[in-house]
Amino acid sequence: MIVNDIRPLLAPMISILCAVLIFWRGGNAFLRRSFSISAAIVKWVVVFSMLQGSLAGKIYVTELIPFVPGISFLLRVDGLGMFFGMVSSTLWIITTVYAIGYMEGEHARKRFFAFFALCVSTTVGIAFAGNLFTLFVFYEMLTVCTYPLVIHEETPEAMRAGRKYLVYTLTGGSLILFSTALTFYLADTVTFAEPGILSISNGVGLLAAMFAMFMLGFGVKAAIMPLHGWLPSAMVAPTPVSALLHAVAVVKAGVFGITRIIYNIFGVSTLKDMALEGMDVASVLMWAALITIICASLMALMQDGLKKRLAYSTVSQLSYIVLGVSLLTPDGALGGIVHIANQAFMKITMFFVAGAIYKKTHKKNISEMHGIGHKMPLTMATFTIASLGMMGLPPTAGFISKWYLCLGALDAGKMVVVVILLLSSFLNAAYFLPIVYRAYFMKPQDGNLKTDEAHWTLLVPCVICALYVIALGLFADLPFVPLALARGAVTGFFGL
Amino acid sequence: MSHLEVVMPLTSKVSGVAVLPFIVCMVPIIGAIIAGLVGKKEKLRDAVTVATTFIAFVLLLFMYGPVINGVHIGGHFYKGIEYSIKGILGAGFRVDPVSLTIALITSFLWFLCSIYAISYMSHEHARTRFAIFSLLTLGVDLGVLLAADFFSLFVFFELLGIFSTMLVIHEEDEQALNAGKLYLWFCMIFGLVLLAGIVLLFAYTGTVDIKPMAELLEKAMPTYLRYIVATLFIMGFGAKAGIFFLHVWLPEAHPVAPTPASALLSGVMIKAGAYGILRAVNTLYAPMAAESPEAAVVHAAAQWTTKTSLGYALIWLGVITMFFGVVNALLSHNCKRMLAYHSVSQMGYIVFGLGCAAYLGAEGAMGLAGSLYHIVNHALFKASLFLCVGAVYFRTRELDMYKLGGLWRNMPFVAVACLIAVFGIAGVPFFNGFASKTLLHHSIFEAWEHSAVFSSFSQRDPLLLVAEMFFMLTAFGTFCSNFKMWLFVFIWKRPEKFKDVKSEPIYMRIVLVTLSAAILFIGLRPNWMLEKFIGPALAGFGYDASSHAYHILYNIHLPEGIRSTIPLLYDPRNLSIFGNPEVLHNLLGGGMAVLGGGMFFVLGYRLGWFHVKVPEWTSVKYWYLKLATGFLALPGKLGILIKQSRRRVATYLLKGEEGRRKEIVLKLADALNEQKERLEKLRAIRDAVSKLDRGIKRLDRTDLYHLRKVFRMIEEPLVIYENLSKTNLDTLRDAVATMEASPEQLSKEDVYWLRRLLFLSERALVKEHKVGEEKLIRMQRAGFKLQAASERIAKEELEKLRQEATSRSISLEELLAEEEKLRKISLSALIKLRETGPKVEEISASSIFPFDKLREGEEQIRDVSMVGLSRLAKLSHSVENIIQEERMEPVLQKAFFEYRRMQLSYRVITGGVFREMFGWVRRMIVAMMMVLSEEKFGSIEQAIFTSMDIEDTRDAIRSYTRDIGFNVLVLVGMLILLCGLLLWGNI
Repeated sequence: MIVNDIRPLLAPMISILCAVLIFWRGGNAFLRRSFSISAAIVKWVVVFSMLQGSLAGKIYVTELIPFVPGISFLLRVDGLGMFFGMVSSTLWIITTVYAIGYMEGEHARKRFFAFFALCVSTTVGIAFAGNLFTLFVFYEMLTVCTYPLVIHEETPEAMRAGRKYLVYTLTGGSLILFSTALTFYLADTVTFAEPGILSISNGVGLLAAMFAMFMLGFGVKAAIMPLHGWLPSAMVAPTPVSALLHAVAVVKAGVFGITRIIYNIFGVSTLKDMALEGMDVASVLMWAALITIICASLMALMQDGLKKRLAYSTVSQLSYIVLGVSLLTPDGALGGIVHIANQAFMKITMFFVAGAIYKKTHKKNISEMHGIGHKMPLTMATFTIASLGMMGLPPTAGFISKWYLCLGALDAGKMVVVVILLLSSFLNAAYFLPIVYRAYFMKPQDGNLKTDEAHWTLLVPCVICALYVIALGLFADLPFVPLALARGAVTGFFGL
Repeated sequence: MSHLEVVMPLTSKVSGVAVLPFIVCMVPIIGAIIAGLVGKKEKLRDAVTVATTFIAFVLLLFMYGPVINGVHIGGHFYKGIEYSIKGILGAGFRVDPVSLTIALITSFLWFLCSIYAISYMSHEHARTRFAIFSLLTLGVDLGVLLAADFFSLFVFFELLGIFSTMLVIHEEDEQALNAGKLYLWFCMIFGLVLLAGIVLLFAYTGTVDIKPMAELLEKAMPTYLRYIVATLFIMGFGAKAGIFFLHVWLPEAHPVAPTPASALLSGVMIKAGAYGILRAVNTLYAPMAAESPEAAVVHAAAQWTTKTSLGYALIWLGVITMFFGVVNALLSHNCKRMLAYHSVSQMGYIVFGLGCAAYLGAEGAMGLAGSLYHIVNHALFKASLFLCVGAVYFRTRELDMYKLGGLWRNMPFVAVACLIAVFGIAGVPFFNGFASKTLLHHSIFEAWEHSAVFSSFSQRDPLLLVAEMFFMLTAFGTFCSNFKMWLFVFIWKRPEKFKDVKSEPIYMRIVLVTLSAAILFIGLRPNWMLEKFIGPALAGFGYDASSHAYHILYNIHLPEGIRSTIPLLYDPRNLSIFGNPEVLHNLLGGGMAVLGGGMFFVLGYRLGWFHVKVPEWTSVKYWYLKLATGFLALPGKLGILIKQSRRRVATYLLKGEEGRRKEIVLKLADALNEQKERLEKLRAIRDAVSKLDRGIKRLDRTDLYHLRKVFRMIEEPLVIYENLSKTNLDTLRDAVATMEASPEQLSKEDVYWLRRLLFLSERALVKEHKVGEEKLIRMQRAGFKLQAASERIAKEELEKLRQEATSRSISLEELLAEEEKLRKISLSALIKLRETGPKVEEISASSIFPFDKLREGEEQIRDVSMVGLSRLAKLSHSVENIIQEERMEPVLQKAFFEYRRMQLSYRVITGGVFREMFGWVRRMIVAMMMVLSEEKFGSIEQAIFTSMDIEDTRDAIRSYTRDIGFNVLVLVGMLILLCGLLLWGNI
């Protein structure tokens, strides 16, 4: 049931308004904070108000003037979009609180918070984009808006990382634009539709090439190896940015795009038909994801910087999502999509912890973190919970995703995926458990065992996210949790 | 058969009793929270802990009626409990007699151990933490036992691992932490293995219920997969149960925990693993319970096959585990470690029994009864043994049995309790171990007798008789090692220092008396357990009620209920013990274990077998550590490979340059000029070094050798440059001359040669750069050696001079002068060392040389030479002029300075050349971007690529070639591949 509504447009506009207000009056700390937090909450309320309807099967649509005949600026809230929008707007509130605490005493805060708001605005735009063109516009805007955040420190290292980021993502973006045009040429429309808009009659070879270009384009942000180079170097950004980049905005935009392409542009049946014709592109994507999962985990093992290790872990975890959606089975897609939310909450917890440690002790390397658990027990407890989640142990959110991924893989008859997921769990344990061990079971170098937690604005977001990680695992079957939303989306994709 | 009648599980819809399992699991968790809140008040906290465990025990007792006897509610007959909460992960419970039996013994022991802990923990730190985690562990352990499906079971199983780790590491010393780490790793990794099994099970059958489903498995899964799933289950649970090759953590983790925790870990927690194996193999792979015995035999024949092969594997796994455990136990000195190895060994018995039960298919009642019985018995005697040893440790702080002795005078109660437990574990008649071991022993004979049916040779399997022999050997070893411990601790000569050891505290005595009473009660009334618990548990496993085992276990009159008059075991009420040959035979078997064990002890004691040191590679842990280290080193090695290949690709990309040739040539000319200058400098260095060589003739041969080495190091780049100039310099000069004369007439060939030269010289430079760094490091090392040598010589000379002074009475003036000279030498070397150290580090910061170690070495040398210097300085300050003409530090300093400058100029040149290379890559990227996006990104490109100085360029080229170059190459490659596919697809 399609409903015309202004709210899909309202959600990104609130953040843009917030950004404008911060540019205008952001010099005043109080005003800046009030703008940020109130915009985050108002937006969450707007998105939440659509949740009930979306779960009931309504699709909210806002259509603006057409750009080109046939392509209009279309915002459309379906199951998948609602899922992504809900996750990002929830996390924005938490990250804003964290950022306020973290950026205390930093330079250029006005710029930071304004672009922070813009970033989230474009992310919600991506979530609610109703056609490929709108998606592309927001996707490119996101790239540009993130740049000032990446180079925030303005050190030569940061500038270089920013440059690298731009080159990678803009190159990918141009591939997407090209394929979008090709799609329009073939299908006469670029609007997302449930069974997909391309059919096998367009020529298998051409479709395979298009698929490859889409995947290369979105794969840059989804950090599929070997397109992941920008991600670890972008770690020079302040921690809230890393957290947002890694958990919600940028990387998830990539995997979200991949999901859209597979299920709303190509469609399951078309891809399966292509496989029958000897062009099993989805399997190629699956293998790329599998290789990424293992290689990135191995790279993570070698890192000493906590944020660097988390970055490679992100590369690995993102490929879980890509893997899930490329399996083309309902359970696999469910596991992949729900991992967007689960990974977001787990990884954001870890980044928050990394930031809190840095803010409190100025330690960046794991080898310096002896006994940090004695100093910051609650902070490290949240980290422990998130690491268990990453390993996929119950009762945490990670278990749910891994469970569905395994089922999906077995549905598709791919035993090798289960083996690799198991191996990846080992590797996750191998690079996260030593941190936990070092934090709790080794004595601090200065022998000081006194508890000294970070400021509450840094601590509370960690705790909330960690609790959420457990809640997502324990109460996965309840309505209103991401699993239910994802299930709605998957039902649509497979026409169940 | 009335005991196999169709029964319905009691759900929460029918009766409130059904909520009990959930409450039982929650009680300890709530208790833990309360204990945490009142943690400061010691007595209140202890009371809460004990009360909580007691409540859990009582609640479980309440379940006995509905689960084992069944209840009539509203005209229906219910037996067993089932309860689940929707929407919460892992909240499904089902209780049957097997789980209830193990849960009861678990909570009973927990209750006793928490009483014991009141005394034991009174001198330990972090008592509240211990109480909290002990209770949490109880909660999740009960959860494992009462779970309705593998899913819930897994949730509790993982939490059990995490919570009990906190008990293992309680002491927080290095040993405990290492053991805890090992334990946690095993829990995590094999938890994931178990998860893989559960996922496979669910994916193929659509259910994870714990119920017999052989039919379903056969339909849903291919044969090989059935074995894979079973293997994953056995490994996952076996790691916690401590079966052989997965037992590594057990002897590490159990002894380091505080004693009450050791008793619980060894006594009951590893039973969670055994319970899992039981559920996986004996329940999951069994056919549905048949309504009639005929049906059980007829329809099940094929469905037992998987189970039979699994059973055979389990039998051998059990035999290896029990034998391996007991051998290690015999060699242990530490009492708790020995008991931990006995836990491994006894788990072997249990797994062995489960194997027999599975192997015998429909006739496996005996094996299962033996295993279940042994689970209960082992819990009792192993807990008792640990607690006895704990009581001794509590008073003496000593765990090595060879250092203790004669303590029966101090603690008579403990000595008696320990002896009872030793007889229990050894299976001496009239103690509890005898009952279960007899059943197990019979089950292996049954397996042998029936093996003709199962084995492919259609004759009895003689290997099973070998297994029986190992069974008996293990029984000897068990008696021997435990009795040995008892003798050494309580009877042997008492060392002086233990004369005034006090008796055990009252709480410990109460607990030990209770446990001993339980051991004796079961030993004297073995049929009581069979009637009340084991017998009812056998129903529901689909066993053939007309089988031999059933005949023996129940005297067949089943309609009257489960009334056992087992002739296998004696019954004191039945006075004809010796009248029954079977019973007599069993008693003799028990006696033989004692006799054999005793003989073994005497022999071993005389021949010193108990102190044999086995080589390290025989332990399983050694190989685990090898494996783990190799695994962790793998990514490092892979990383190096990746780095190398990336560098190769980057070099490849750099080759095809094209551009402003004039500038290149001019730059080359400049470079050549600089090379010439450098040649001169190098010659200067050579002269300096040769001067140096002459100057220090007075030093001995080794010093000369080192100095020559330094010299040769500096000379090598010189040779490279000379070669370079010989071949290329003239050509280049000609080219430049041609260029200057008529720039527009430059032919293509000339351009080619210029390019080639450029490439050659660039490569040489790169190589030389690397070589130079290496050389410098070696030079520094040589410097250290030189200094050490000179100092040694200084000492020797000093000594010699002293001798001369005394014997030939040389004037003091001369002596002092000589000494001062030496002092100067080492001082100058020291200065040089200080100066060059950081510089070298700076130059090759990117290299992987271990500078930390170097710095450490430097520190040490510095310390040593400072001592030497101060000693020398004490003698005199007056003589200075002797070594004026032979001073070496300015020369050396100069040499180093020149070398450093040389390095710097290389960098400038390298940067210049690289900038040109970078130009090519830049153009390539720009061209690609322009093609892709129609000059859309022109402005960005300008913003990015303008205004870079040389250093920046060098860094940029490194990062761009590595990241973009490589990625672009892959991207282009993939596009080409896809175009190929496209063509192919259209054809």
